[in-house]
Amino acid sequence: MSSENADLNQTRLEALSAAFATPPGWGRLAAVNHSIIGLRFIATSLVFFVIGGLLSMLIRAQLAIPGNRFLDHDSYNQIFTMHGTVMMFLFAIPLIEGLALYFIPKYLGARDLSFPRLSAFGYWCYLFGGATLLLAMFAGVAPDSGWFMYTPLSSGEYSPGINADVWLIGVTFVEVSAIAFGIELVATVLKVRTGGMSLNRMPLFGWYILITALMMVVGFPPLILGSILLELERAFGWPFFDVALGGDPLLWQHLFWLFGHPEVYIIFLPAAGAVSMMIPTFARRPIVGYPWIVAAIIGTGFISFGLWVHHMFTVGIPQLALVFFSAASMFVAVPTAIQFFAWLATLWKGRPVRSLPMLYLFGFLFTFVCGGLTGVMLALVPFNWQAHDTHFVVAHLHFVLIGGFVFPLLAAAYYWLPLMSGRAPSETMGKWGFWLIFIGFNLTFLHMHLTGLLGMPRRVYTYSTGLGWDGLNLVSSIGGFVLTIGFAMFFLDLVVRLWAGRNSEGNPWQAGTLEWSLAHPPAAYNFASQPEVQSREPLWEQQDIERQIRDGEGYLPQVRHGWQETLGVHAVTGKPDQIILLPGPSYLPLIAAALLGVFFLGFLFKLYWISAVGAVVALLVGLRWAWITGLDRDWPKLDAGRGIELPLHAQVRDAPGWWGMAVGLLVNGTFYITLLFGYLYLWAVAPGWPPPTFIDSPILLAFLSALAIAVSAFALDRSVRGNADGRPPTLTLIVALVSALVATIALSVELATGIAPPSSHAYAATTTFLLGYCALHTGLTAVMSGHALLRWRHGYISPLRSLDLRVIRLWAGYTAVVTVIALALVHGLPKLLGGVA
Amino acid sequence: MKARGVGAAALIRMSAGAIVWVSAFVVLYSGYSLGCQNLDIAADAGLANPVTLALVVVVLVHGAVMIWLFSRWYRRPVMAQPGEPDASQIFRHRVEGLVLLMSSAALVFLAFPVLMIPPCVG
Repeated sequence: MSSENADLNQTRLEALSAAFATPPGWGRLAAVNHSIIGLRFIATSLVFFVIGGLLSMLIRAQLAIPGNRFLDHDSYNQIFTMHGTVMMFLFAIPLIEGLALYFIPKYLGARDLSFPRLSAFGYWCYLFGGATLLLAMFAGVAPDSGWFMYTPLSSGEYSPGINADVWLIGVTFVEVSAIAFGIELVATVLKVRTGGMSLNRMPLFGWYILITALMMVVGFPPLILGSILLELERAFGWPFFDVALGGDPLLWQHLFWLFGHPEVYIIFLPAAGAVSMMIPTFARRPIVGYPWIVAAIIGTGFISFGLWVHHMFTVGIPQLALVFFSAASMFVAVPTAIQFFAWLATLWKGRPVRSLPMLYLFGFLFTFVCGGLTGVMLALVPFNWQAHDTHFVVAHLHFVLIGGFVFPLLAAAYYWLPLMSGRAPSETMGKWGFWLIFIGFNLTFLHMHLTGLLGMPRRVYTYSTGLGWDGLNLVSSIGGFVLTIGFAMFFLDLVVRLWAGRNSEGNPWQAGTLEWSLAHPPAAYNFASQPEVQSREPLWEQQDIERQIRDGEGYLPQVRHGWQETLGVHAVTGKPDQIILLPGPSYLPLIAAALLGVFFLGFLFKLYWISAVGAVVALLVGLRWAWITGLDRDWPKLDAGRGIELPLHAQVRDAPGWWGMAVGLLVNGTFYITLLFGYLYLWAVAPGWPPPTFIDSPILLAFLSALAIAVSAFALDRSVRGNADGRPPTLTLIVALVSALVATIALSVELATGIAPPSSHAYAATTTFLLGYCALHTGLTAVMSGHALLRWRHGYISPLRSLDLRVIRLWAGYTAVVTVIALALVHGLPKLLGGVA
Repeated sequence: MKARGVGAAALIRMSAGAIVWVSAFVVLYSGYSLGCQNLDIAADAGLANPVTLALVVVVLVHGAVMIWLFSRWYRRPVMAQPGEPDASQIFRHRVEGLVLLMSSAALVFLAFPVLMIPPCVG
């Protein structure tokens, strides 16, 4: 390159840096860049990992000898509850989120995520929710009912303090973050890739994260619903889980494990994704059986939702149901085994090189296979009955989670360290760390299987001597401290490398995927220009690609109007179809999360008026957020580089926003279906039915609600069509607004006059909740219609820019369907099954 | 909006087998629960009873759907998206077939208990 061209290139890179820059100082609170948010997630989750680890040390210190008085039972209950909660909700899931947020755009050849502000919002929700739990622990009011919070132990009668409320509110706050992540990542993986990256050329990490994100979208709503129901029971006496009033504690267990078992795979799959990226690199060949692995990931994603009852084998479920879940629990080993065989075949057919990450990967292969085998044992009902709630299960779950999550991510930490920091890892300290962790782990947990088989139950704070558990527990405790020293060695190594490690060469592992073409560490904009990829390992097969990226020969090489741009592609083919304008730094995510915090804390301290204020102001901030999104005039197609012109994302059919709303409705729909499951479950199974009274309101009121929301959805559909034809959508939007308001009022009247007090019976509580859900949705439809009307008047909507209207149409259609179903159930079931319990 | 235009239908088709399996699982579990709740079937009634019969029908219906999906998969390759390379179509076709295979095996695995255990015991 001539010096003149080099100067031009430098000027171009400086313009990109300026466009993607985050303000310094306090301005960093407004950061939305995916690398910054990803690193914040990772750093915060590691802090929580240290805290969770220290809690485990207290547990092991207490159990080291029989009759120990180091901790009393109250403290022990809080500590083991917080250990599980911290590790599952505040460490594992957020670490996955952080790694995916940081790496997915880099793997996919993109400059950022589809909704950068949403991921920033998710981070603040995670931080505030986690801080709530942590502060409660330091204040001595941490949750103490176990990380699964079984009712009735966690109900008001047996947990009268705020301990259980802290869990319900703190974890729900954190789950908002997980839902935001799910929506963000599904839309990103499907739409925000570089040119030519069709589904068959997508790095496997992208597939793993896509399925994980979809699993989170479907897996988390049951727990959110369960948490809301339990908090309503605790706060207002709505008896969802109270047998005396038509509730059923087992409903909680179903809701919790509907989330809880897929959660294991939600944690495992991203780690397996990292493994699938490392093994080909170190085997020096492409992965064997790429379509097989993709099919296995899809299979795992679905089958893992059919296992949840294996956590409930001892609660008294008919035999056939036990065997259904037993069969599914065994079968899920098949897709997992496919992935293992593909990894082994890749190593077998390749030319593996010895390296530090590979050492940790062998630790993973050994440990996770052991955990998987004991998992198959526990899937067998007779064995499960024997081992349930013993230390055998504790050993199994640690083999699965540490084997299937921690070992791969330790490998990944050393693998990705040069890219993230520009520093090379230390072989010596890394190996010491590995052996201490591996030996310490097995010293703690391998023979814990035996402790469990000898009958030691979980969650007991002490035990008598002479039961055969003394020596085993002492060895476990010693192992636990060795394990901790190993982790300390790892962290020390990390700090030393980041502080004073030698600089890493570019692409030190000679990997084939795009992220290694970036600077080490990468610039805020990732790619100086986005490449056209022609294979799954472009760095191996497109020799000149790094220079093309650097010299601006890819897509979107130039900055215009100071915009942050990234390429949008067709979800399947990877053919470029739009230019996505990314939003810049903003305080709105922080403000919105803080207001949500006000809402949650108001609930925690039973200051409900504060909650109401927080919710209303949060809604206003949300509307402001939506208001400043989009374009206020039409744009022609713009030059996207490589000789093509593309429209801006607000002017195409399937912008990321449309996908975001579609995935958001999947979240919402899962919540709704779970709610219907709870409604019907109580009706069919719970004792204490039928209730004293059923709904008593004129059927005409229900017809009015259904008709009004159907008209609203229809009017929004006409708005979209009319707008596309160049007709102003004013009238149809006013009709949509008014009819949604009518539906809301009719549903509210029904709620206020037709149902017995919710605290009187589970029927009244579930019916009130169901109709309240519908009223909330119809009310939001009215708000959105009014918002769209204002945006149309201010020029944000035009025949070309119709994304707002199409997104609201999706919402209104969903609302109409769920409202009609709910009204049919609420009014139809008493007539159909009135006397049947 | 036509789903095919944005690629959603193609993504769903790749997972079709797993979706059928989930449907079978949900209908079997909920169906037998409601059946045993509402029909008085003695624990020693054996396998000749209305609930088992209904579950067998559920399995057969889902099995028939699987067979139909297999035959469609065998006879007709995936519908090409606009400008989609051959390799991408072949990949989607393979994944669809593999997911069908895995899901069919899972359905057979799930069917065994129906034929082996009286439904309302326990």
